[in-house]
Amino acid sequence: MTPRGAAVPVAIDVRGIAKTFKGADAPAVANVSLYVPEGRLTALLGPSGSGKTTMLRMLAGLEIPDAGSVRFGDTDVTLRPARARGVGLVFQQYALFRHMTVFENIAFPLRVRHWPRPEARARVEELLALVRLDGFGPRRVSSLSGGQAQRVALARALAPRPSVLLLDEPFGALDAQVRSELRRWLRSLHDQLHVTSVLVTHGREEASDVADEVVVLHQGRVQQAGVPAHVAANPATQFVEEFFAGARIHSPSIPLYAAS
Amino acid sequence: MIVSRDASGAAGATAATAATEATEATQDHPLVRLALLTLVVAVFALLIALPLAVVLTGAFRHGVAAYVQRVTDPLTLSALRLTLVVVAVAVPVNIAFGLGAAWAIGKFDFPGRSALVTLIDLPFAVSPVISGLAFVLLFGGRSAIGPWLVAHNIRIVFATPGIVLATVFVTFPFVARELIPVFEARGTIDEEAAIVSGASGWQTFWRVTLPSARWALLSGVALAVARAAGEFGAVSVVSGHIRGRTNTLPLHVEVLYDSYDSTGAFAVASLLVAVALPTLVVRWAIEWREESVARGGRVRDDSAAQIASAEAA
Repeated sequence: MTPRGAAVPVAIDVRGIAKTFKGADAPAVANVSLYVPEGRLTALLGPSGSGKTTMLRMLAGLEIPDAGSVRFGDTDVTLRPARARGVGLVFQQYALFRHMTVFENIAFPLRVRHWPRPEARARVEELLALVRLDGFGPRRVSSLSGGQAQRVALARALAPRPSVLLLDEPFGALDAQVRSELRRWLRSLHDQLHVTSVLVTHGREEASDVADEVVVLHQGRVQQAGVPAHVAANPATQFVEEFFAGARIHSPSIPLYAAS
Repeated sequence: MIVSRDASGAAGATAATAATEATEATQDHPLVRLALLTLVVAVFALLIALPLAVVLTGAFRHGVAAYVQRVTDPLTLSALRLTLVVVAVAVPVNIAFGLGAAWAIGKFDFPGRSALVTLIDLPFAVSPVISGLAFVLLFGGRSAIGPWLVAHNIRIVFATPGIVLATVFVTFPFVARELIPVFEARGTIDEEAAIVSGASGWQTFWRVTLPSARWALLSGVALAVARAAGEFGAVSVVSGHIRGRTNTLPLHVEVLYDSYDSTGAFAVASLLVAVALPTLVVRWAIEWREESVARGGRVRDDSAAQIASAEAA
């Protein structure tokens, strides 16, 4: 990854990844493979305990898989520590640094990478505009609403121009109306960004609204993967059928692509 | 008023009314409240304000000149110097230990974690005199390593190192106790966010973990300073009461009082009060700040409007 140039989106290629936590009788993730093409957005979809967050944490480098491999483009990052992976991660609970201002939060990934100050400042201003929070730089984090805080978290994740963006239930803590607005906005934002994204959610409509492709997980295993409308219309397992029962899935306006 | 926190938009007025009624329903009779309040104020006045006033009036009973003379007495100054040295060594040591212990306990789960939590509280549970005695038995002339220390001319007991050690022990819990709940409450999510952002362990600690607990740290330091300056029991056992050499301010107060110099005792005591007062101010300022942060409350989420307006433009 070039440090300051435009990011080059890379494909995420996960093969046979598995994780069993100490003391657990069943694996959190069992032999999951996943392919996200360059610049696409895939949703990991499933109920709580389905292993989707563990998947995301393994992509971020916050958990080390017991087996399998993770590749970003041509690079094997399976054992690479989180700080060296160059991914952006947005947490459900924002995880903004509360002792810093909005500006300092977004600048944090740039400061620890020793970006020159003028460059970092320009980048933060650019991001504040991108997430529609111009002028919010000096604000305290505690003065932000949930939707604002999550947009700051998104800006922080995007600051160092990561080639991979990971979103862990990013709208989970928001009001219903704000949530639906924000996910439509995220979709349109993603189309402008050169980043390959994985979104974790338990909301099938959310996944269908935002993602190019969904991967349905249950008990740590992939039930089905594909374009949302297709998965909803042609459930491969009983679990997927029940999970999508009654959901309103819009037909995608995005071109289909082959799942690997 | 707490009500204003939820009182946003049109629902504000109704919410406020409902909340007022709810408050009244859960409040005691005004007379009961008055009685309790009077009791608290009376106890406070009798046990805290009155003794403080006695110390100050006692110190100035024979005028300002007598006060200044007692305070600038060489023995008093040497006691003050020793106390400042003890504070200057014991408090930084406890900041380092307290940060380490609280960080380990608050952020990680490891075997022996609960035992460590209990150990940190040990100095609170043990009488300070016993703590002091333990150091005498450990490093004194009749201890196992005593002869070796004497042979190498290392003085710990009845000297400054012993006083510092006893003070470190007695004040150990303050910093750790203030930090542990803060570290535990926040969990490791900030650290994870920092690491994914590309921060090293060192950067994470200095830029995220430590600043997030800075107010708790300051509060703990203030308490530790006050206690380190005022510790009597443990220091009394290890000091040996050598006037002008191993007497700290509290010990000097006792010496003066025992020699019927009550003006001197009160004058020196007023110095200790002077150390304690800034501590109170620091604690008070921190609590005031936390309350004002809590009052900040919930913000209406206008994200949808912000995005929509920006898209229309």
